[in-house]
Amino acid sequence: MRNVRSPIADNMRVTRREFLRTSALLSASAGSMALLSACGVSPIPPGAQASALETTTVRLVQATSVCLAPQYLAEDFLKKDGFTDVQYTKISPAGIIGGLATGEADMSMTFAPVLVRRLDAGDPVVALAGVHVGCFVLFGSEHIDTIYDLKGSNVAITEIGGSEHAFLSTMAAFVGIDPNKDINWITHPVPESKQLFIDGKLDAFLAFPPIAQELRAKQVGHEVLNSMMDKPWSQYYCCILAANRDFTQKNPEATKRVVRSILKATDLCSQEPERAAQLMVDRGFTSNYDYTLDAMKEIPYGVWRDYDAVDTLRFYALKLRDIGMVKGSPDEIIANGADWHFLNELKAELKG
Amino acid sequence: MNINKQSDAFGAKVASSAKQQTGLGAASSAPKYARLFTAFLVIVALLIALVALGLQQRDVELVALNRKLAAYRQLQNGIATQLYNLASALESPDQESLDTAQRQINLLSYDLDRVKYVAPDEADLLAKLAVDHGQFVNVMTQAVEMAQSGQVSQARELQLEKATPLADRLDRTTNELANRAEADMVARIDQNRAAYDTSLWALIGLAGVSVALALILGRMAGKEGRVDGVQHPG
Repeated sequence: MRNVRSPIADNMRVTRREFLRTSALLSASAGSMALLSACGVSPIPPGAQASALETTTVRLVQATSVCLAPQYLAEDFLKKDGFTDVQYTKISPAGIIGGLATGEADMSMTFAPVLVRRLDAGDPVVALAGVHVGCFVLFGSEHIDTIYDLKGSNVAITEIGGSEHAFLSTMAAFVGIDPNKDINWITHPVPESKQLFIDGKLDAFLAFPPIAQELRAKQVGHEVLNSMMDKPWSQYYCCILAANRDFTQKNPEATKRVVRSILKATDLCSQEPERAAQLMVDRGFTSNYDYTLDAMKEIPYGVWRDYDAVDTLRFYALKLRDIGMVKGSPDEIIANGADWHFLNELKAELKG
Repeated sequence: MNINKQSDAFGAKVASSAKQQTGLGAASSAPKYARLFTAFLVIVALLIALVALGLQQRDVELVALNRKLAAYRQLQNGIATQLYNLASALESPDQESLDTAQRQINLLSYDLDRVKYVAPDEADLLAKLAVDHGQFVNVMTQAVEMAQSGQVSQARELQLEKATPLADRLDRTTNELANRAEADMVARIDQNRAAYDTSLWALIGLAGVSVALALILGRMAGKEGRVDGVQHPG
């Protein structure tokens, strides 16, 4: 009998050179996996399938508040996850949602009540995940001891409808003050407001990190409300990750990887605040290490697995509706403006 | 044959004319219009009753949501009270105050039972609440037992490190339930408002149709009377 060699067997024949090349590649891959794992980047878990990345470019927001640290520190994780071009678009905190809506940026953390307002107005943005609870602190002058004392007082905000206005309005309404009638809103850019408060020309000032930490360190005024500790504010997210709707629809795999990177960076802020603060300073996102470190230690970054972002949107939608700042019902706003499936998938993947 | 038909028709006209003259025709048509009018009124009343019943049903839903909110707040208050009672008992750990704290911890399950009763539709959050509640009761009981055996500082530590975070979680979950109920109320109120507007327009439409129908009926009745009057040979 003649021994016939099959074409498949022919194809499967491996020369010594091919064998060596394949072995070298496999060793390099194993080494890379170990390195990624050592850097805190888990390889794709067994069973999970990675789809192709639709884009390797993502545009995040750079604003003045250091509570957005997770998105600043996400760059390394993004690059390890296949993104080659991570851009930071400079936008004021008040303009974040506008920047997302117009497509100036793809994704960013943003303040929950402002997000609720813009979702109610029909902006093409979508809420994806809660990132951290609290971060703002209400400072009062000697005349202001409680939120109720804001009645008839002068309070500086960046703009009507902006983050300070929305947060303060919900606080005021919570204790029975009509924010539309009972508070004298004065609009100034944040640095001017801060100076006016330091000079004693304002009754109250809502400070975000690192200004809150700076005022505390300089013993300017006193804390009337600390959203990181005082209920009910400490029970709800302050910052929620949102994205341009079009971006999430066109790039679902990229969206998931950005969410994953930002949540990993959130864990970094929670577990290694010193390293997070130093990285923020080194990369020029902030200049003062001490205030940034205080903020990293104080802001509850480690709660994103436990707290419910839906409930945060519902809470703020209810409160803003009470004062006429949103028209739609909470359930409508959530149904039309949130997509939690990326978060739910990642919660299983990134078990703490 | 023709002579007979003509004489029959003439006879009928005469009879009709006679009825008109004596008022017998008016008497027989009046109940007809009265019956029509009554039927029409009954239809209107039924429609109004239907609308009213619909609104009443929505009121019942709002009352149920209010009941839920009250139960949630009662549970939150109960948890806060238990934490306070335990802290007080640990400050002066005599047998009586510790026994009281233990008894009241057990009473907390009534508040949870009440929540389960009024909110059976919130299965996911109730399950979470039940697990945390069970752990909370265990930790609190353990703290009381520790204090009873003289380990007061360990009991305080347990209260601070385990009972307080559990109480916070219970509080948060209960707030979530309350927010859901409030959001449902807002949705119901919106629906009520929309239903009220619809009902109002339906009622206005019905009133318009009634007036139009009454005018048509009146006109028909008047026309019939005039026709009968013209046909009268005299």
